[in-house]
Amino acid sequence: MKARKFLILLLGILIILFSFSNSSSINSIDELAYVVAIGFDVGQNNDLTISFQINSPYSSGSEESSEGSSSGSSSTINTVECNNLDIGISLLNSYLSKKVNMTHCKYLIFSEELAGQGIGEYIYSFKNNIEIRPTCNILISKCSAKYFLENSKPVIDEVSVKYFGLETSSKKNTSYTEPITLKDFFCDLSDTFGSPYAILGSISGLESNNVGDNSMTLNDNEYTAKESDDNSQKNIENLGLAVFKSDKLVGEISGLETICHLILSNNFDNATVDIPSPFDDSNYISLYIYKANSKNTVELVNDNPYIKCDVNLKMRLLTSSEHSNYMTDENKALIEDYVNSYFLAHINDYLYKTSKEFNSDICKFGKYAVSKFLTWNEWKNYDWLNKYQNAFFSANVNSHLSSSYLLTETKS
Amino acid sequence: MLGKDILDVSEYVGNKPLQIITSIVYSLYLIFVSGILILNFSELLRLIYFPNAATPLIILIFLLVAMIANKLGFKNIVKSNTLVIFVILVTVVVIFIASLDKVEYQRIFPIMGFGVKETFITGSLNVFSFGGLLFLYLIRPNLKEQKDFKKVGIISIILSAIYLLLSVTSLLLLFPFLTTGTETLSVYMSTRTIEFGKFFERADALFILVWIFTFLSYLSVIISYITKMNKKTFGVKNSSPIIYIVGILIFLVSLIPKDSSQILFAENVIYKYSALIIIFVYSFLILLIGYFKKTRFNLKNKIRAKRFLINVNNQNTN
Repeated sequence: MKARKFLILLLGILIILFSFSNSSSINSIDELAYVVAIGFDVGQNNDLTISFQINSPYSSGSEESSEGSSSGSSSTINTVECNNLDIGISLLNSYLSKKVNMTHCKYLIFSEELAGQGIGEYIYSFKNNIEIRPTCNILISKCSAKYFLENSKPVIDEVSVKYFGLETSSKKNTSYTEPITLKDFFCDLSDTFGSPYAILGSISGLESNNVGDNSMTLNDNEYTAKESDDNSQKNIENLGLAVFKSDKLVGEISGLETICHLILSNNFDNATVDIPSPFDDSNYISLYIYKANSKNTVELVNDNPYIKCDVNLKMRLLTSSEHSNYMTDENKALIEDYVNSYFLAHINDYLYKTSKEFNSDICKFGKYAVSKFLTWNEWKNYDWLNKYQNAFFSANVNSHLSSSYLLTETKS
Repeated sequence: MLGKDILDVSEYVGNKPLQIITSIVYSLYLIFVSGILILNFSELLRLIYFPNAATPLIILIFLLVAMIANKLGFKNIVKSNTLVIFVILVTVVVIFIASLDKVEYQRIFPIMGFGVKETFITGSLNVFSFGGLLFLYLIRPNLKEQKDFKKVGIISIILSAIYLLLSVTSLLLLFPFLTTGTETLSVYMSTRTIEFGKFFERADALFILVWIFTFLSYLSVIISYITKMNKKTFGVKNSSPIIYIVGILIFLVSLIPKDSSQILFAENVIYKYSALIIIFVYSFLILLIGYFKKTRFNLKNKIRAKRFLINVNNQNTN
């Protein structure tokens, strides 16, 4: 009984000690500055310019700007020049009245220039940072990361963290991009099956000196992030993917190529695409593709990869015109033939672009080749990631127009 | 030998000296293993939630709880374990199921792994993962029904195998970097990737809570069995001093490694080989010798009994 009393007393003392002794260092919302996005640019004097977009829960909505920081309606952007992220956080902490907290960080934005030099060391640093979630998105900005953050004002949402979270859900609606998280990027970076890629983003309505030529006439689906012609207001525009070889940016793919990528990697949700009308050369017909998958196989021919992709598409027709009648079997077959040819051409373009131009297997075809090897050493010695450049492809597309019924039927 | 544990068998094989040796070897092994594991787990906790706290303080809190649990008695530990074990088993299954949509089954290839020698010869040393079988050597006196021991043994081995397989499978098929590098916090990493829709995004905190209970339960059981062994061997009536000493020893062992490389060495080399030697060689030898001694003893008794019966029959006929 004596020992029990002693233990209870000891426990009581411990609880009191833990409850009251350290209260001055408890982290609450008042003491923390929540970073919602971090931008990385090539620095002028040092290696890096890091911009932190910090949410201001008590913002009055007024816009102010000062040297080193600028603020919008719900967030502030602070920029520091430093050699690495940890030093950047320390510098930021030194002149902020609050402690920087990154548990709500939704975006890690790298400028195209920095990504071209390699971002491996930053990704490894983030992976070891407990505060940054593995679900944080990786974005490569066509403009500078600072410019991207300064102009990424929520259009509908008031809270920028929610806005950032919703932005990547566009993949489910358009398939023009794919949300790539820190975990995905790190896994791809350390993987032997394929190469990493990231979201390609920019700010629509950019000044001409911030991006390249914007005057090209493009099909809607062939846009990449910088080429959208919506100049009415500045907001985030995520279109296409940034392709990496190891940790270095080697190129980008457009919205339509991203659709091909999602189909081939079996991550496709749905998309609306325009194809030239088989009935009228000057018109396009819109198709809603609601299911797509690809059966991929890899064989080794003369020590080089021979990749076969058998793509199946299921779609519905969205377009109607005055003189068309899509109800007949002949017309349905004609549309399916057109779709097959259209996608076959784009899939082949996409495959040869990633192989010959980028030498980057972002579809992870390596996972279909690995079963051809018996041991890990054999697989590593084969060096799939570099052999991908020698790959040759055979694609086949089978589309199925599941229903050509439109709400308003037209007659020829 | 119904109701006998490895200490009784040791006494039967080599009298009191062997029983003392077995007791000391087992105690040292359990103290070392629990000290290293609690250090590793406390380092993980410090890294994630208490960056400003001292690791020894976290270890001390764990040990205090385990010592208090032991003071309250073995029955209470068993009762609380009944709850904790169920939660742990559910957790492993949840991790496995939740990661299913992210796994790539092609990661099991190349099918021969690092080669025949690495897989079948060097890999056979990984049987140390079944180190928990040590408790089968000690559990027998605690069983209500002695005839159930075989059933308990088989079920525990099968359960261990299934859960080990589930954990390894979910890790191996989830991350490429496990095969290309060293990842100490792999299970924690896998819980960080788990999402249940958009509402339950950060399930890792829940898993950490479960693991805290797991470690408390583990430490309580370890201290309890070390106390039981030493009480039996050295004839100590009051268990309190042993509980305190064992707690302090585990704490001291956890202070020995100075950095993470030493922790890794202790885990991957010392723990691995000591588990293999103590559980699968030393204990097995004692049981084997005990079995032969018992068989020989029974045989001698049978021969004696036969001789006796023959003598009795001869006397009767005379």
